[in-house]
Amino acid sequence: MSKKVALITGAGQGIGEAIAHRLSDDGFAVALAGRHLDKVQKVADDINNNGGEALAIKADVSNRDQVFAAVEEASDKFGDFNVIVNNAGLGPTTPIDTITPDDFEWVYKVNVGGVLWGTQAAHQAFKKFGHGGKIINATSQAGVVGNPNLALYVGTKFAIRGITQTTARDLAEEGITANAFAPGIVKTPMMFDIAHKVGQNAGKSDEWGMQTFAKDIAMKRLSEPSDVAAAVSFLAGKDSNYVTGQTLIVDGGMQFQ
Amino acid sequence: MTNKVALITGAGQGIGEGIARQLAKDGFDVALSGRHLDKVQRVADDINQDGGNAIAIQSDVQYKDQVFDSVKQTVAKFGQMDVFVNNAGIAHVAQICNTTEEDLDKLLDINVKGTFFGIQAAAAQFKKQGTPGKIINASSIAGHEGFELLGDYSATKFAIRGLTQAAAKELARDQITVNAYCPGIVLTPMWDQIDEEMGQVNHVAKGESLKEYLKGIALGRGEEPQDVANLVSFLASEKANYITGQAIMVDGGIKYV
Repeated sequence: MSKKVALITGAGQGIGEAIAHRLSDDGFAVALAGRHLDKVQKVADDINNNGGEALAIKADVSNRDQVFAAVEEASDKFGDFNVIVNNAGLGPTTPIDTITPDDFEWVYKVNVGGVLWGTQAAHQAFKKFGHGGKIINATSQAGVVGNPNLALYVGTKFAIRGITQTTARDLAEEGITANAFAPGIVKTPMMFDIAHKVGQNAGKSDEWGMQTFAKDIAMKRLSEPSDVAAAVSFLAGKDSNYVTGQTLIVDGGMQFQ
Repeated sequence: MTNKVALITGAGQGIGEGIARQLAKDGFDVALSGRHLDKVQRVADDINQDGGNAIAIQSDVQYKDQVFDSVKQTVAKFGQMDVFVNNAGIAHVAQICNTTEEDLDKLLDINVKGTFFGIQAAAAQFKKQGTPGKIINASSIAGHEGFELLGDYSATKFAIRGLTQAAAKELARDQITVNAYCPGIVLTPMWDQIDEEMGQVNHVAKGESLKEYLKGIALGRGEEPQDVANLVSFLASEKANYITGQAIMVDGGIKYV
């Protein structure tokens, strides 16, 4: 039996990298898309060296043509297409009064645009192969409740939950499910950058910046990228076949719903 | 390596039976508790004949002593306990204005007190072992939104969500996670009963009420116990290690959380 095929955007580092590794371990052939080919290539090489099947693709998710091309390249290479993980996203620190029109356009184009184009491209591929599929989008605990200093990011993450719910309803009859995962405070380059900026803005340390987000985690530890990847493994597998339109919070106990 | 051990309440039929069979397939030794020993014994015998390890325990969850005793029997047989599924529950279909105090007491005793005692008994055992543990509670779509004619049932399922969140916060320091699963319209004897009583209240033929509910499911089919068991399989696994305090919908797309 040939492998199921998953494409993960933003797979060059952080959560996306962990998801790529986890889905490969689960038996998927994985396509890794990212803006910087060297980064996704390194992760793909790692996976291939460990007996997996991985393909690195240079793609900027804010560019619709590049997203469609990435899905096409992945499905041409592996001969099928089953799962897209719309993971790529930006998390700049943006106190309300500092936000410019350029910031707004940039963050929404990447975070929201990337999910929309990924959803469209995946839908096209599912139709082409004549079967259903799974669309998995990255929201955040900041897509469940507004977080300080992150107005742009928070807006996009709420938007992604809305898009996920609509996608679930629109595409259900084709056997396509759409769900979102909502990580908490994960040890990623993006989170370390946020902690640094929030600390700086308050005249405090990076550690202080991180604690403003981490102090309320019930499990009292920051999230590893692999914690999030484990939940995505469920959403990408058959055990979630009857779950659709949901936001799965995987935050160690910060937001409760 | 010894198998992990799970206790499932209300395991003699419906969703509980499905969960017991699935967790046995996942490699757990399973203890099946229920009010009627013959029903849980039948399921346990099936599992044992298929190469699993199961025991049947007579236990009524509305009595604290019996719940604690069921944990004791489980540990006596299998040496430990790792997962506790508070599945047992009953439905009651009536308008709020026609619900008697006896009806209400019965529902609160079994659904809410039963879950409460299960959390207490499981947490006590996990703490005694000094090992991480997982408590998994049965909420419902009616625990996210009140349903007409299910006023008291909805109240108990909201209560279970509340308990889940509070227990998650209290027990995180002991490496115990607490989550809930929220089925939609599962084709079990409980929904047959709901259909029948709704038919009487609304003066429609048998089967019609259920048909109306089924029409609202995005994925276009009624829910099977296996759909729920698949989610519980995830919640009982390492994949859910960083998830706590969540009430996760598995309803084929009715309610979007």
